[in-house]
Amino acid sequence: MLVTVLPLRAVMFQLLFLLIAISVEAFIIQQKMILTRRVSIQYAASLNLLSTILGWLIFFFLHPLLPLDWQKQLINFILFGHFATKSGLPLVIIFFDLGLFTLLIFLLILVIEFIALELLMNLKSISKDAQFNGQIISQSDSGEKKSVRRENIDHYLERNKSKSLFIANVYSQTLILIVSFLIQKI
Amino acid sequence: MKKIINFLTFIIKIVKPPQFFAWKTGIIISFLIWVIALFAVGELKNILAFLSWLFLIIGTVWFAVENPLMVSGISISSWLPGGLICIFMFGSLSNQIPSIALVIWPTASGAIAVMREFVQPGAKFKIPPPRVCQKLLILFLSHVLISCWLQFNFFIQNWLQRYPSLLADDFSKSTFVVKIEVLSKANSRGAVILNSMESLLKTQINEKPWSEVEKWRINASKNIQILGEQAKKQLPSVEENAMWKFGEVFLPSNSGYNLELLVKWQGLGSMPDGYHLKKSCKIIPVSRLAPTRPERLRTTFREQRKDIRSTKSRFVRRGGFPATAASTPAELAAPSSVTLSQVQCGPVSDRINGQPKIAKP
Repeated sequence: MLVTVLPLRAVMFQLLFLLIAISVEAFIIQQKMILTRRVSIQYAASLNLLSTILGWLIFFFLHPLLPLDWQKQLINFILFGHFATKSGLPLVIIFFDLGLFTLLIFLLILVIEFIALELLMNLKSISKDAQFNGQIISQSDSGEKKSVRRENIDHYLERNKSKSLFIANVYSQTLILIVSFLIQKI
Repeated sequence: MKKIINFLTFIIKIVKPPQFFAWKTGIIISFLIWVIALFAVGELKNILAFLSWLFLIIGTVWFAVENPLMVSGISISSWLPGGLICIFMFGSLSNQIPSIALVIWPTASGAIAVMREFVQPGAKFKIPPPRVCQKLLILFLSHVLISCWLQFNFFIQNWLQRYPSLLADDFSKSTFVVKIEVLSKANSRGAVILNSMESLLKTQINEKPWSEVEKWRINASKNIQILGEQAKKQLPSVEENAMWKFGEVFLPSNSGYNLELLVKWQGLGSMPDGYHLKKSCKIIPVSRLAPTRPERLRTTFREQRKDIRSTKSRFVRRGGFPATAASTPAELAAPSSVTLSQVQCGPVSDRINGQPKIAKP
């Protein structure tokens, strides 16, 4: 009567991965950027949602443009969980490709999150936290001129922001990778 | 009479908007315009229908903004105007609701749910405080994510339309999809191809003189390819048709021949090396009593007439008598037997992993 294929597992795993990513990143952002827990969770949630959605959009636009052979490989991977290996291609190259692909996705997500964080912070500046942060630093080097200090603070914040976001992403993506490997094995 | 009046006042009480600017006004206006549109004709009807839709959407959006039915912080009532907007935008083009309308639906509902925070009582625009803004962003993005999932689903349905035989495959290894089967099983279209190949094969070499089978056998592999292409043409043409390949195993047996029809599938599916389906057929000679002499004469006479008609010449007898007529007197005297071919085929096999090893006889 009815035979169909629904992407229910994709939805389930995406929810799981989003929860993992949001919780890990929120924890690290909270630690590194001295934000309240609520704000850091909100940041992590919106950044991850945004990068996920952009990832989907890229997939939707790119898939029809790929060469037919690649399309078939992708269909095989999504529907049947394997890449149909052309007999000529050694396994090493495939793993190398996969690794490269993972790295690319990681960088893409990172870039998207950087830009999004920048926009978010501009949109509703976390002025309170920045001031709070600034006070700490200004206490430590109070001898310098005001303008120089201001620049330094900005610079410090900027570096801190990108560094913490990078670290947060490394942790969360690694965890997700491990979990997805476990899922594949099971 | 009193009851009716009571009922009417009750209805009016329900329907009547509390003030002029309320969501009920929009819906009432929409309803009235729709009633008028029923009696209108031509271009006017379309315009009125458009206006009716517009007021209905305004009314429902208003309703959703004014009283959101909150379930754990997410307003449910925004899904109604969201759906209406999608049907209005994409459904009016054709009578059928396209997939894009379904995909946009969650996003539209999310936008309406977010819009609620931007509108103050008295239809004034306001920008909510940053804390709420952040929450709204998450709310909206999660609605968009649902849209993405729907779109992904339609992607998969599109693949299954292009390659319908995939539905018969095994999806248990996938980390993305699950297969749902209710009361039926999907079959690989290879089985359909094999069955129509069988019937085509029978029209070619069933109940034919044995010499024809021998002639057919010489070009067997080429003939099978042609058969397969013909069988594919009988199916609805989809992209996967090009992926079915044909093969055969033609072996002599103690009586006649064993023919295995093969259809091969490679490139997509749970088996990395593809699979093939098999149908075993037996072609055996059967001796029949040859028709008696008068009958045979009648048939030869008929053939000759056909022959003559086809050449459209009354005087030229091409080819002389057919071979059967020019037989020895001994054969004419005794009722002899003629060997005819008979094709018997078994059922289609299950999917067999890997590609067949074709043994050349």
